[in-house]
Amino acid sequence: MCNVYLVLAYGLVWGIFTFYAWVIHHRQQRLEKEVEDLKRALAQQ
Amino acid sequence: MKKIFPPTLHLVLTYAWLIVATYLIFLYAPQEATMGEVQRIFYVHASAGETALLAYFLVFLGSVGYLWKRWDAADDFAHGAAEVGFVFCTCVLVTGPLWAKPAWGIWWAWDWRLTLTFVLWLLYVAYLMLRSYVINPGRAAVLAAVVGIIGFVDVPIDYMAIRWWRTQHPQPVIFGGENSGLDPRMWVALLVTWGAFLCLFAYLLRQYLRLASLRREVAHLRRLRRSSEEA
Repeated sequence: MCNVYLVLAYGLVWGIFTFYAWVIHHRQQRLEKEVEDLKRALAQQ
Repeated sequence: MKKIFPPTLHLVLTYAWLIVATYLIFLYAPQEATMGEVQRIFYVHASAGETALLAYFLVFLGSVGYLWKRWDAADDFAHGAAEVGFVFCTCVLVTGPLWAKPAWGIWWAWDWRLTLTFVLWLLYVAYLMLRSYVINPGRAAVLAAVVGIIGFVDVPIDYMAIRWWRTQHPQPVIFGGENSGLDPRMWVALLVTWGAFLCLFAYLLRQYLRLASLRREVAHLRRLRRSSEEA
């Protein structure tokens, strides 16, 4: 039989790791876009 | 590093290692006699715990490096280790009570090991809050490095707590002396899981360092833009 504590523990651990990986990826994307925008603005000046 | 071991390859290796670890935990390691299925929480709980302690050691090293030489790279390394270490420490505090409730009948006990691990989590929080709320980046780095060094006192005491004092938390099964061993198949599952967690930790730290380098690049470009606008 499936143990609810076991399922919760593994579900939460993978959930926490996935969430953090998503957050860090999202922050990277935002900064990469900002770098591109700034480079474009500097090139136009 | 990026050319020898690209991040994509690192990610694929981490996924593969985690899949092998999951197979070993659920299909290879035997069921523990007294606790039954719920004991399988042990593999992620112990692996995350050891990784969180190691992460704070890296915070300590980075903090010493920054205060000594004022290397930005050392500061980024300490900050990254703190952020990723916080994630692993949170996993320890989440899985611990979920194992304690069916095993001990209670969610939490203020014994030495549990309390010191909670203190470690608070140290991570304090470090990250300092980074977020102190406006001057140089001052934030110095203050956080001081927390990183002073807080390291908690790590060896936390590690040794279950060896020095008899507490609610089980006695050590890793380097715990005679009669503290695990079934050989449980050892294999534990070591592979810890290896997978270390690989995941290294991947996330690498991603954080990339983020830190992007932040510095943005700051540099903003300065350039301001000075060219003023000229």
